[in-house]
Amino acid sequence: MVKKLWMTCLFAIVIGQAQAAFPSVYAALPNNFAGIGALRVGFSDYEVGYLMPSNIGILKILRINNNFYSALGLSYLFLGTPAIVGSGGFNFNVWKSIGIRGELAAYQGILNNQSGGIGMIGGSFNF
Amino acid sequence: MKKILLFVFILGIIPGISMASLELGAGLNSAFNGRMVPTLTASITGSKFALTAFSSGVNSTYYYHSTYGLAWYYTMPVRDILGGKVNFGFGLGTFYAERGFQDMDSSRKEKKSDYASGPAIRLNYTFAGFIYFNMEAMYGLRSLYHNLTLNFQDMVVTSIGIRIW
Repeated sequence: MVKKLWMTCLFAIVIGQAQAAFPSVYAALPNNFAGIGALRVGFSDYEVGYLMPSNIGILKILRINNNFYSALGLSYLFLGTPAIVGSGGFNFNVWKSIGIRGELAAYQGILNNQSGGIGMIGGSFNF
Repeated sequence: MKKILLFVFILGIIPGISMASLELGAGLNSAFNGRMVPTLTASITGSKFALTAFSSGVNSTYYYHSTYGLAWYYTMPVRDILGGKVNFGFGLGTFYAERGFQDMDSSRKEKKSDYASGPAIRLNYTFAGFIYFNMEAMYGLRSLYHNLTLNFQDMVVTSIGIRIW
């Protein structure tokens, strides 16, 4: 009986968390509309992938409210250094699970002071 | 009438200043991309605003390069990470840079300067109570063309510092 209760609670917690944290995909163009700005896969409060031009890594999303967020993360900069990444942006749901999302992002290379800021505009899809 | 207006102005501004804190830090900025040139930063922060400034430069026998910046942010606390507080800000910033070069055997010094203003974001992570990591990114827009193509001159300032009060 106790075992069943535990299993039910565990199942409820797992399902509850899964329902609260849908995976998402974010693709965006950079501010000069050349190449790919971002291509990320998100789950819960984390996103991984091509964070911004020349950066692959992981971001923790810090939500301000339903439509606005900031983010902090770590990345590998293609110029050969780990980097700290920060950003702030918006995400408006326009139709079903599709949203318009834009972001101002910046990176700071730790070893060689390579840094930059990028603006991005694109779309997000929540599964 | 002027005295009354001044009095009202002072009454309005003093509570904001008394609530504010002063932050001093050092770090790097993207005016010297690829070179470890130190940047000094200072900020006055309140519960909902941050006024920040930075200064950096190099000087040698042949050339100099100085960069200064100023930004104002509307800030909001976001959440705690590992016991530290993260604060996000969105606002406006501006920077000014001046460069000078004198070739060998030349008496003429070439000078150039530029500036840009535009939207800016700020991420501040304060840990251990008074030590902070700060990242500011300024997206300077210069002309209508640059505005239309969103092709801006970016300036990223990253610093670590302490909150004085």
